[in-house]
Amino acid sequence: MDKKLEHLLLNTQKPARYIGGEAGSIVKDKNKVDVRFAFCFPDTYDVGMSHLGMKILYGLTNNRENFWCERVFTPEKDFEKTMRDNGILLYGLESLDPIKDFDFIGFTLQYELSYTNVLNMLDLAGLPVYAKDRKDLMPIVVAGGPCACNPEPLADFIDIFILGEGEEVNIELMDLYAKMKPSNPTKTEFLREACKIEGIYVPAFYDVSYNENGTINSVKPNVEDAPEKIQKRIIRDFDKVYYPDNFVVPFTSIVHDRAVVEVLRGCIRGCRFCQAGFIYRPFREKNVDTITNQTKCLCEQTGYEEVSLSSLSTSDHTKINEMLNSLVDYTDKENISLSLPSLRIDNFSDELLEKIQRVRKSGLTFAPEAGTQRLRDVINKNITEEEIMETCRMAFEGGYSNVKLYFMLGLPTETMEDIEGIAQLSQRIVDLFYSIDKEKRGNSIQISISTATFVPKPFTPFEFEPQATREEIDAKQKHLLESLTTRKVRCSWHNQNVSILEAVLARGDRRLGKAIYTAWKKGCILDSWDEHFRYDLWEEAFKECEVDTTFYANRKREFDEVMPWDHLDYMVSKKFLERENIKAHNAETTRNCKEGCSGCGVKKECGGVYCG
Amino acid sequence: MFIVGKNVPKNQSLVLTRYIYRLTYCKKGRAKFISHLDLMRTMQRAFKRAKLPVWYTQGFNPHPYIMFPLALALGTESEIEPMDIALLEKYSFDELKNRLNEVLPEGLKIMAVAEPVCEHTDVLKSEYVIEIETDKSPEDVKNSFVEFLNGETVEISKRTRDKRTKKVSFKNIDVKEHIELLGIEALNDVVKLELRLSTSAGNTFNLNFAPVIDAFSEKYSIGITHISANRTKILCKNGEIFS
Repeated sequence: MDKKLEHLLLNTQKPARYIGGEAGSIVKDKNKVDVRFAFCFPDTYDVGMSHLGMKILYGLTNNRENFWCERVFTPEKDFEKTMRDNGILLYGLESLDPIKDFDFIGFTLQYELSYTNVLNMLDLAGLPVYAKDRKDLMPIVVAGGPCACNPEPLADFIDIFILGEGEEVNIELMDLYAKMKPSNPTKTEFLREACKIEGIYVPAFYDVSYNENGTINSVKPNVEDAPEKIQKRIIRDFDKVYYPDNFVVPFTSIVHDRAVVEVLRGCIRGCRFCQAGFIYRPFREKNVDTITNQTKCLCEQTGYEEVSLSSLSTSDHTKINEMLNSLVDYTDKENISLSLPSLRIDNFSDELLEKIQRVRKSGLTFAPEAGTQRLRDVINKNITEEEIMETCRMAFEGGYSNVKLYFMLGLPTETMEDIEGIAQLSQRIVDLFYSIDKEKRGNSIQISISTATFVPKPFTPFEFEPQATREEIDAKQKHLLESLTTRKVRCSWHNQNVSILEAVLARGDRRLGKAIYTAWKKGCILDSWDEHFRYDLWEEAFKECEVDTTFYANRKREFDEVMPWDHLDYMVSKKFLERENIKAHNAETTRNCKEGCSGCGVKKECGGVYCG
Repeated sequence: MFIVGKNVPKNQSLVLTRYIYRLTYCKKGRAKFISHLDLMRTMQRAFKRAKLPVWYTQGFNPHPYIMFPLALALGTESEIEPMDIALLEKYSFDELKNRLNEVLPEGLKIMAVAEPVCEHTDVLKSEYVIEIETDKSPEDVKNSFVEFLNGETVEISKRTRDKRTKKVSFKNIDVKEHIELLGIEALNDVVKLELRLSTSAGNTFNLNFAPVIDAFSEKYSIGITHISANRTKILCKNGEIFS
């Protein structure tokens, strides 16, 4: 252990986050591996260690004898200062070696507000943040994750974007590197080969031209091998895909400190605001046996006493009853608690309900997203008020008395009537509670309404829509407060500035790179943390770089406009998104994949349960 | 979110049969940065991985019976830390040790397993070996430290927090009667101290070496560049080693 680092850690908050050595972490001999990969999560340890994707790719990469993957997180401000003051370069938690000497530095882009952390981490590593200034082969800076579906704002900083699911393409990329490295290729030579792999997008190989009105004219490859369109990668046989049999078990408590088993990928529902519902298509699931075995294996290896199921909607698993039966049998025997997030209890069998009767009575969470049925039809959120009421009634009779409701403000076509609908829905839930026999229900009810500002995202039917302006949202928030008549309802909102910044970055283009750089230079880091978020500095940066935020956030796009991400193919066709957009404006719903195919464009070869 | 089977009192008959072991573990290298609170969780998971059935307390809020008689300050190494555990089944000392050592993270290791002899409340003092590197010559530091401890009082700054107002303040207290200097040596580039400090378990006064070294370096304007500390003994009221 480095003596200097050791001494500095003694004066740092929660030093266990910066020293590695956890159970399950993998240490190899660096002289015996061909490729070293630094997996960077651009947020703090507590957040990043909870991320399932990192656990999967960490295990997958380290499974290969000649590869070594290490974990890297953003330091908190206190330790960042210590590092800078003492010349400590950002290092991997396993070897404690500086990551600037690694072959790959990989970022996962989970949310837009982590972009400045990416720049900051490259800088802390002692590397130039601009890709063009990193001339050597090593390290190659790559990035993937959901935000890579519109990676353009970060195009200046990243060498390679990896589109779609990483389990196969990451290994192919590293294999290519291992094969080429002995012949000492230049960085460009390597990138020229890499861009031939499906799912690999090298932004430097594409030129963007703009129209006079500021929209994009075209995105064209500038080298021969780069494809016109880059298609995302997808795991066709999801049941057989690699899944880790062990996790790194942290010492300090992290956000989600438990075993996690992924039960399905993709979503059948097609809610029109939801990016995950489109970019992770098609819907694929694991067999019940696979899920049970992976649960057992992980619990035994990690020693966790809690396991959680991960998916976009667990109850959409075709064998949900069989799966839960099988899991509860195991977890009950081993005294392990089973968390079931994103579960709808309406389609449970009586037998199963009885089996999981011993549930902790904490809260009940619904995401109706909109206050009226009309608006719920617009966003294709196929949940009816009767369903909400029925589930609430079951829950209240079961002793629940806290209900959390999630809504969005500023959805397309929203009127003040829809806002009043939020208040009325809450009131009806309160009334329902008091209509239940006193013997059966709790004493008092508490409803928490949380409203977020709608952020239009790429690859959704709402990618064409403007975000509501600050004034509109202010008026809607005020109206909601005025509409609420009961003290049983508490109301909270997301920070408005955060939503605006997200909207700008989510649908941004390459011209934002300079603004991100400027904001970071001004001290914007850890933007996802309220206490560190400095919108005033972002505003200054936008102003200096002559970026008009309303152009990106509040402008309606025509169907024929070239989007900054149009050269990326996430399989869902633009025609489908256009159709869905038109249906949204007519408040027409679209059936889910289970009920029948709606022709989103994902091919049946991709292994979707309901495709073809 | 639904959590099945958590904190739900199970209507089962009380389990009172248990086997208590006193483990001596070492905490070194990277593991010295595990805080006391985190150590509890780390051990709990290690038992689970080793498939050793920990006995849970039988109250309304059952928790695993894993007890540490004395906390070890973060950053301090030791090879003699005691930990008591209760298991549902009986194991040979060797099996227990081996099974745990297979699953413990780097830096944590079970050194010995035995039956408990002393009570936790017997703990009175601990001995430390501390090596300090500074920006002054080791000989000067040594002399200053002896002078520091030989003063009329040995004042350290103690952080206190008002229970009512939650305000944090610092007050100076005299800890002379709680420190014994067992040895001091000026080596090539370090000063090696052997200290015996009051570390009785429970609510009575418990002294850590860190504020002592801080007070010393401040008083004599010595810049400390590196410090390594090792707890070497835990002593009972009767002067015997805790076992």
